[in-house]
Amino acid sequence: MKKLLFLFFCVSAMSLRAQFQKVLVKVDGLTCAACSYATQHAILQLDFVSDVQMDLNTNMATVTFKSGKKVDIAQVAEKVKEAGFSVGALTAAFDISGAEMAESKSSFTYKTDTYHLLGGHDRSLSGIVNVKFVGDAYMKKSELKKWKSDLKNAGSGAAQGQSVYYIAVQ
Amino acid sequence: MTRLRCALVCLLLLVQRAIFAQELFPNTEPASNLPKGVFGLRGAVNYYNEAGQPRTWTGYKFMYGISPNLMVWTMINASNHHGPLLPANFVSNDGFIGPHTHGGKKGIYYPYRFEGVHLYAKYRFLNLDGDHRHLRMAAYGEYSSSRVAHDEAEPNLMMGDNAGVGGGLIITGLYKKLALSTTVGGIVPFDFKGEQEMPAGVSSPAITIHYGNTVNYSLSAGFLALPVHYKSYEQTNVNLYAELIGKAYPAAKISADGKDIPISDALPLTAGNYIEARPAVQFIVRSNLRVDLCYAVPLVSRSYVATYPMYMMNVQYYFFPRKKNETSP
Repeated sequence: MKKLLFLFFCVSAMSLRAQFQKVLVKVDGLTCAACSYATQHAILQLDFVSDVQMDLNTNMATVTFKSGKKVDIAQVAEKVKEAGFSVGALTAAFDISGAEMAESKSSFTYKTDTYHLLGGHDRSLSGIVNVKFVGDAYMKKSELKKWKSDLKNAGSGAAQGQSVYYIAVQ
Repeated sequence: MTRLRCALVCLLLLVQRAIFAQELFPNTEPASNLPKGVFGLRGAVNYYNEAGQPRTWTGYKFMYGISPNLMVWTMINASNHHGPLLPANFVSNDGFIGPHTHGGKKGIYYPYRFEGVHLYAKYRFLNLDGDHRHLRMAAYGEYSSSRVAHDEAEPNLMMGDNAGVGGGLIITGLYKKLALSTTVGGIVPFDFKGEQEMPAGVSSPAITIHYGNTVNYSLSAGFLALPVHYKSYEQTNVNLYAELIGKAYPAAKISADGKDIPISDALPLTAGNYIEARPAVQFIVRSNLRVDLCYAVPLVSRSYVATYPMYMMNVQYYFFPRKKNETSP
């Protein structure tokens, strides 16, 4: 699994042109090709998604976004749920250099959405950063428990129409 | 019991052979649901030969996923199993049970006719997902109308034999190589009130058949036989299933013109408790078109609404909401 994630990040790092081009979704509960097919169709309903590639053996979905369209990660997770399954993990490679960092360096704004960085990292972020989304829609409950205190201490402010995401640098 | 032992051995062999488990059971519903917004269509055929009289039942099922947790279906069914009236002399002149369709006089001819509508709703209330595993629980409710004279004690809502209501619980668990699902439910059939066939000019007594409250249960296991390794959605999947279907019901109570009629030793009208074995093979073409081939044999006692072996076939297809894009892995 770690090797697969590493491979994905290497590939996505090389191919990234936009700041936020694709996410890797580990779909839990899948048991057959027909179920994967249904999940792929559900995610493809989203107008900002250009492509979904499912690995039928590992149940990993690589979701590629259309450039120029506003991406709503929460909707990707919701579509997995609507297909009848759960998101085990949702990860992405961000080109963070163009994002607007907050003074505290604990959050940044990208395409009007706010991303709070969890985990108490103390280094300046730049270039392509591998992150995982934190929240009950994006990970197993057992994994979420580890982030409980970080989520409690993280900021939550966002203007109307904005989405707020919690992410952790991998 | 030898047959039961054989069935269990086959089940264990399948478990050892399988790579991934499957839960698209041909004869029972898993606790999983149709995806939200997806429309499914299933055609089902059931065939057996009763004393030279071919008996065929067909059902057309229209399914829809309202939400990830709630799905519904409407099934329209038709068969040549029964007629609108009970057989001639079902209640004989001397006040006893005479010919009845699948027992006392096997092979009565009936034309093929529309039987009824079956409505079903299933709500998934527990969903624990993991990597290649899950545990799900669902509750279901069903209603059936029927316009046939069902002259057996065993009720069947899904096949349109009886009007009535039912409900129950489904638990489906899957862990790596083993998928198991069990259903426990109840059926409350409505009484049949009607007449029997009579010679021209002779009126029939008003006959009431009271079918008792029934318990239905099942245990299903499913396995992916092919492909050994997934490569694409284009690969045809071959799944093997072993299902045990059981039912326990009391004797029917019959009256003619208000007078109770003894059912004596008419087996199809007496209380029953049986388990059928239903092995099946399933083909899933291009990850959507599903074809189930199945047959049923009695394992413990037997059902008296059919003769064995019984052959079944289902063909099912899902229609996904209009896609913005389409890709293959």
